[in-house]
Amino acid sequence: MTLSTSAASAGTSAKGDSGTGPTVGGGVGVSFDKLSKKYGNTHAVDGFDLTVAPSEFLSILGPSGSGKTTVLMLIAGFVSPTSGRLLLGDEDISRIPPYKRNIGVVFQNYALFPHLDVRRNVAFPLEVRGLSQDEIRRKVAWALDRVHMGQFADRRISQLSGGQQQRVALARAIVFEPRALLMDEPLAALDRNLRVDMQHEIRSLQRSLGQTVIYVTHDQEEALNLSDRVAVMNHGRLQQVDAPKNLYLRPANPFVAGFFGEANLIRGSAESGVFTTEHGVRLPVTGNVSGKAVLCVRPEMVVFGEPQQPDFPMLQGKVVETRYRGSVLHIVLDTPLGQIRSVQHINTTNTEPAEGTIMQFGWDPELGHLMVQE
Amino acid sequence: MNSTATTDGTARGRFRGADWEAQQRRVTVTVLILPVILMTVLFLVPLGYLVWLSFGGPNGPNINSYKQLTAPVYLNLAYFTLQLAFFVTVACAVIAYPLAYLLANIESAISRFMILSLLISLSLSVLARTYSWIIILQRNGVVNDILQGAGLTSQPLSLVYNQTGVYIGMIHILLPYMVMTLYPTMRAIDSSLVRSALSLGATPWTAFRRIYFPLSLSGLVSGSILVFMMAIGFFVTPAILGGGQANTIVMAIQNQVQVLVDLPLAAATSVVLLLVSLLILVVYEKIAGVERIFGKGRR
Repeated sequence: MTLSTSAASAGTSAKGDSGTGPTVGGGVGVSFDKLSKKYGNTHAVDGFDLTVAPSEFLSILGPSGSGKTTVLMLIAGFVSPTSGRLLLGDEDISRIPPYKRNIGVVFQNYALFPHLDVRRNVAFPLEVRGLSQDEIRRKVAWALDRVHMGQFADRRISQLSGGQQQRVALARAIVFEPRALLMDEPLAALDRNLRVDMQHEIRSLQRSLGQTVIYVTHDQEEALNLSDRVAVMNHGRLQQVDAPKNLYLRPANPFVAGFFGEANLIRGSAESGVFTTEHGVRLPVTGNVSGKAVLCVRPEMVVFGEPQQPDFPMLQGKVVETRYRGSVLHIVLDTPLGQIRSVQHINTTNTEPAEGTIMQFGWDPELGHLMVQE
Repeated sequence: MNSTATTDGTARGRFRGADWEAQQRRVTVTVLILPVILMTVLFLVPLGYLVWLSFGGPNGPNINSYKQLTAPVYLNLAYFTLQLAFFVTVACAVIAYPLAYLLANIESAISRFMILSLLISLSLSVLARTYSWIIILQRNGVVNDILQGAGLTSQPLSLVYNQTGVYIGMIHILLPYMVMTLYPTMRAIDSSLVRSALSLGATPWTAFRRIYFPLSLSGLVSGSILVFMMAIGFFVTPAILGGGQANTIVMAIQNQVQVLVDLPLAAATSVVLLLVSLLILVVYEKIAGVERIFGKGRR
């Protein structure tokens, strides 16, 4: 697959991102070595190969049923791999029970103990490790302070709001200084504004602790916002591991292209800079892909009007649908390439074209992205 | 124009709201009339009559019947009844806890089948279930045949018409109630709590002891209260399987009515039994209340 190359290139870019500040204490790396989990004859996770650098924030992103939950359970230790290895630092933990792994897990529903108050919840991992009362008190205070919950230590869990419960769960997961932090859609139950706030907090907490974080989510925006790199999964397989920017501009395959925002996917074949669609339309392209290929054009790359460059191909399309969505105008065109969707920012110069209008449209060949068709 | 429409809408909305509330109240009252009448006629009136009777009835008021109850024979009966109820409750709790745990945590056809068979045994007549124990436990019954056949005993054991038989029968009959009270409590415990405890470094045993058990305690307490109260008032099984060697306070009431024909005494005994049950309920409320603040209380 194209995976290996993109993962390698992303590895360097991630280093550039996270190398900006000195690493404070913090986590160790996590490596997946051809990790697979089979249920009966179906692969829930198939040949998962990925290296998470120490102190990296990596999201595992995929639709429901993509196997991301199984990956999470494999890391936490509640599921044993059918084959392959999972390394924490340089220790193989694939057969170590969950309570010996030293990985902090933040569960989707927080999983706070309802019969214990905030302080006792956070103290729990320290108590089971047999720390002294003094040390427990000190560390619990430290962890609660980190998540701004110091004044809530004596509250019962049921007295806390969703966001506060989230913070307590976070404090409980970092208090025992785990080797890595694993988060399972921790913000899914929060409302939008709170979610954005918590994203900031999680990110700054991770940076200051230098903690390695593996963050499982189905929310693209969240993954892109938080992560150094995003690992996109579908049908139990890794599709692409890359920095957020590349996932949008340089998707590895049509699935990834469609998963991050809207995309016009045009099927055809490519040869020496010319892409021929299934309907025989010839378009100039960049990139050295040859053979069967899919051309990905983001809706906001589509422009209307006169060609701006000499070799800027223009086509004709008939407007079939227009609608306003906030600050942008969506236009759907019927064209020789099939339906083409475009997004225009609303300003004073553009007006909504009537349905049935014939319009000239095109895009900068540099901005079209060519993918090999599998 | 627009604002007028809004005020109109609000005004009409408020009017309809009031109407709807009144309608709701009428429905509530109507629906409640029948149960209130039934409660009064079937429970409160007989209860008042019972209390009145226990204080001498037409010859009262006096406390002669209550004085009679302090006789050693009745104190012994009460002691045995409480002892029987206590040990039956403990046995049911010990047997039901792992059973309910399996039923609540293992998703399979077997667990569904077991729940079904528990429900069926609940719906069977207590009389029939009690008599079947005679067949199983009697001198030439199945159990004695097996024990002798295996050479474990040379003589048939007397397993029925004594206290052993009563214990076996009552535990069997009351066990489903304990399981059925524990089961929903355990089902309600989020499995991610135990997983979370494990990921935080607790061994499986610690996770059970510190997280699962405290959360299942409320079910265990309510199940125990239910079984204990049913055991105190149990008549059929001790009467049939006891063979006169396991007389309970309820059997004394029967004796007072049918043999002694002393209705005030029977009424007084019933009132005392009722008060004991109420006392247990009050204590339960206190324990359940304490349990609710368990985390704070333990610190």
